[in-house]
Amino acid sequence: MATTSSISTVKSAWWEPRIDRAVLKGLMGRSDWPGLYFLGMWVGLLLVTGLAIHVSRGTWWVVPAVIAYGVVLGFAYAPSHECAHGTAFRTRWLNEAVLWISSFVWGESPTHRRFAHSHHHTYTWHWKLDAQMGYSNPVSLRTYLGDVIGLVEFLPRLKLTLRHARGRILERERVYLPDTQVPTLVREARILLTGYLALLAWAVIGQTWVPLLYFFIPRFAGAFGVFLFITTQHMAMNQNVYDHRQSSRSMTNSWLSRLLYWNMNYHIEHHLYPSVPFHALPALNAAIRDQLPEPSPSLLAAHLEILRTIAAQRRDPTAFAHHPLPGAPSAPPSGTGS
Amino acid sequence: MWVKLCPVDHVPDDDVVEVSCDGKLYCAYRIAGQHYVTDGLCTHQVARLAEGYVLDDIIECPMHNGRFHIPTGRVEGPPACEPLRTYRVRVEQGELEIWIDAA
Repeated sequence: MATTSSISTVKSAWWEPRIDRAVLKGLMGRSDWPGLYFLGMWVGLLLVTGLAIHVSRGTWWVVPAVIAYGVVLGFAYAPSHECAHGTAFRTRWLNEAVLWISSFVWGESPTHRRFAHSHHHTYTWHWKLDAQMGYSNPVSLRTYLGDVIGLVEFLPRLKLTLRHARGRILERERVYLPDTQVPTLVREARILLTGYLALLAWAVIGQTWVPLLYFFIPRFAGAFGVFLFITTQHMAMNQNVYDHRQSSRSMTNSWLSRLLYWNMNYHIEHHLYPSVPFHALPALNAAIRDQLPEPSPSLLAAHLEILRTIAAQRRDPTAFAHHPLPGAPSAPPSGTGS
Repeated sequence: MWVKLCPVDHVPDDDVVEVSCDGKLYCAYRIAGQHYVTDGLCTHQVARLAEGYVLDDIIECPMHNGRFHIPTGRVEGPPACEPLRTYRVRVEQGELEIWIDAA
């Protein structure tokens, strides 16, 4: 028996921490209960904020209620993302069912979600390779604001789904989408659109505001909530490097944020080991913390760092947010960084 | 022909070990007491399956979570689309062997 470390793989290009195989295997363990807990809390928050919409109808209080509900609804991102990895639940049908429901709310077909996101993990923020990163360093303030507000969110993805429902797949999509998956993708896009149209038909035929007040309007009005978090994952970090510690940003978040975001604030850790489920990411962090940069201390600190870097990039387009690695000098090697 | 892969006691219970033979990577498993061998690289994109996760009789790729049925190589979950090659195995004098068709 021999090892063949010389074999080049998509994973071997990336920096990996030292971690015992038995420890890692333990962290990769699957269970239904953490996912059910996080999902249950999300549904509970939807019920509470949904009730707030119900009791405030006819008053101006309905505006903040719809926004609050929309913020919670937008975090459909989290179960959709985790289920796309297939790590949310041990039970496969449960994983697939939650993937479908959360992806419907999120606005992206399960197959596109999976394949585009796989590509993102292979080429994390490698410009023109990463299928999910639509911008590059230097980042403009307009790009930042568009991302945070969620302008890159539901409508563009709805257009994408419309195109897929018509069977039109772009060349750049075929890079990550095998031909064998195209019929599935088209079928799923049509199912999603049928669902959205059914909700609209309910509103028109039933002469009711319910689908608008509890789905379409809050999806737009509250999109900024989850995007405040998603924006911090890679923006203004170093790009085109094979080290997730430099191209991804972890941050310290509150209990409620971690609950809604399914622990994706441990973003470096998630990219290092996508097979480790969301609920084990704090334990993974504890196991390899000595090899990671310090996380951003808060959501606000992460955004201030992004804004500082955007300002620095106006003077020096090669600047990026530099997170010193353990044992490395605190200044970036070539005078870049902010 | 039968080809020696590794000593059988190198294969962990309910887990996977990577084995190299003639420049090719294999994964050797012992699942519920039964030995299995598959190709060592994921069919989706080149990633070493032995770094992945074994859950019952499923191996999950460490890179993108594609899943394969270990005994048959059948695809069990995307983004994997192509089945994984599996091999006939036997244990001879403490060695795990696989059957490879003569070229």
